[in-house]
Amino acid sequence: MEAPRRRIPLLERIVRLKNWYQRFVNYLDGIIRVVLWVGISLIMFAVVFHVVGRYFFGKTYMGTMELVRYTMIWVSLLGASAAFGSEEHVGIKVLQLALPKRRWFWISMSGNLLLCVFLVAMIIGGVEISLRNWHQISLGMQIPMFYPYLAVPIGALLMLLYVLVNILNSIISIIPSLQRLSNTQRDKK
Amino acid sequence: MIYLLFILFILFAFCGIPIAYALGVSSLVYIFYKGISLVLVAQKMFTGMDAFLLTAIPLFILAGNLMNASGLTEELIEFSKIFVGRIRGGLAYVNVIVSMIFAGMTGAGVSDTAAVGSILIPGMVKDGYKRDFTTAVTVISSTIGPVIPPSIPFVIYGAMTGISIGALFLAGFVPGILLGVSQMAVVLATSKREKLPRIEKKISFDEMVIVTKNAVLALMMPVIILGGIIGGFATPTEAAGIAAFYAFIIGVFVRRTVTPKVLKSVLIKSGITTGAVMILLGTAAIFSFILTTEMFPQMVATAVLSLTHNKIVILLLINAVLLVIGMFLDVVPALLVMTPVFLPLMKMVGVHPLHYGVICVLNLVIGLATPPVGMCLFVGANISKLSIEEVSKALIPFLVAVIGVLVIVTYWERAILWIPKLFGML
Repeated sequence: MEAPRRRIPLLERIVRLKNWYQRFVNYLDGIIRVVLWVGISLIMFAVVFHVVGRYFFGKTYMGTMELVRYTMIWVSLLGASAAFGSEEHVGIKVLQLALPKRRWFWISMSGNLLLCVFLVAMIIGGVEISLRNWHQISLGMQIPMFYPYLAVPIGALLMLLYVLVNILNSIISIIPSLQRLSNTQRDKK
Repeated sequence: MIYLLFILFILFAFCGIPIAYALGVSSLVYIFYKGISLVLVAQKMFTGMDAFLLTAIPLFILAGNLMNASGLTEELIEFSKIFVGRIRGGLAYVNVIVSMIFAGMTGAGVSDTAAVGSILIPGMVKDGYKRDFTTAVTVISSTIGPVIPPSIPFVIYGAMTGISIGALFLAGFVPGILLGVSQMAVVLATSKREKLPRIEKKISFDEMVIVTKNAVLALMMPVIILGGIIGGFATPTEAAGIAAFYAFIIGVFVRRTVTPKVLKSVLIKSGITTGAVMILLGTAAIFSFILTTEMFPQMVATAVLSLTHNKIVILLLINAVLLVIGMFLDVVPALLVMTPVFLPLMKMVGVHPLHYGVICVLNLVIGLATPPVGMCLFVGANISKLSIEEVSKALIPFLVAVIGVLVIVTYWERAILWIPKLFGML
């Protein structure tokens, strides 16, 4: 494995860069997972708190429902981004199984790029709508609506980062020399 | 233009873009074409996900996952054996019955295939059942999951149409039980023909008591959910929250099978699954907004009504379309896209929206067990290490039975609506 590495240092650099990027996304993934488990527990306990408050104390705090809704939106958008990492998104895989690997590569690559365009649209639209709602105060919790809306662009940005990992990985898997390099680097670790 | 939207959606979906995003990308093409502001994308996505009713979804997902992690599946299997274990083909009946009970705890089908299948498929094969038949029973019985309450598709349908989720849950009972009975009828026919094995060991009375006592914890879950909603003690979201909390207490403090580490991974898994479902609601909101502004539902209605006014024929047509769509799309996205399209037509020909909801979900759920993209089929085949073709062949008699149920559900409105009426929900 020594010979090809000396001949193509550029490729090696690409693989290194990709590995570095992958580590960065894995790190983000860790943070997202913390937000997810905290968020889901928060939703559960808040709903229970709401019911207990109503039955045992005859009181409900208006903000609880809002808290639950907005937490869910954050959890949903972050969860949907993490779903790219753990391949939880449902898709149609008929063509992938039927087509030769190289042809599928070009099809899925164009699909992924279109997906990126959509995510960028989500970011642009999301930033705009968040900023517009800077002064809009929510009824229950009295917070600026900026924060709930912010989940859209942040979620989309994280999705974009995950999709880029997938794109880089499929590029590496389609170029034999890159894949070999990537494998040897992984073996060294 | 509007047909192009559908064509693009299908094209993108086949290009490997996840369904949720294929809806978004095709809508984006329209948005660019019409020069609408991108704020619409973010705004529709946000409002599509922002409803208190929908918060029942993460909670039902969490409740099911926690129940699963506490290891109550095996207890339910032992419990079901009391009733049908000693009949010829007993374990096949157990498989169906456990799925029906499981359906009372979770709102999705795939988790059932995974939980029940990973225990019962090896168990049944060891006892001498054929591998393909075993997998087929497991796969088809998990389609009951989203029909018997609680049900995530019903929550979504209720949130979309404003129909009471309690009424939808109640309306799911009869079809769910019919599905189970029809599947057991196929098992019965097979057991006569193929001499399916039976368990010789007799269960003593003491054992029965222990097994029942163990299963009670799991059996309480549907009672909490349904009792809460039907009795008017709790909204669907609250009932889901209490159910999740109950499962949390059982797993962490009573059974102690859910250690902090397991708990954390269950919470994360629930969060990711929530994301994968909710993002669909977001992007489908953009898609259906375009459909309605382009008056597509009215176009469909006029087109169909120009062919025929016969309610029976129209229902047949709708069933056929939904069955085909269900074969290619997962339940939730298909429900989200097709409900706004068909509901106006259904109202015009006098089908009750509640009835249509049940018909629609039942159609789409069948697709979970059919090739080419049935999720339950994939999971089941993966557990038993069989090819999709082998399992599909064994599924044919079951699918015939299930479609029989679909016919009953479609044309016998009263059978569906009497329970919601009984509880004064209609």
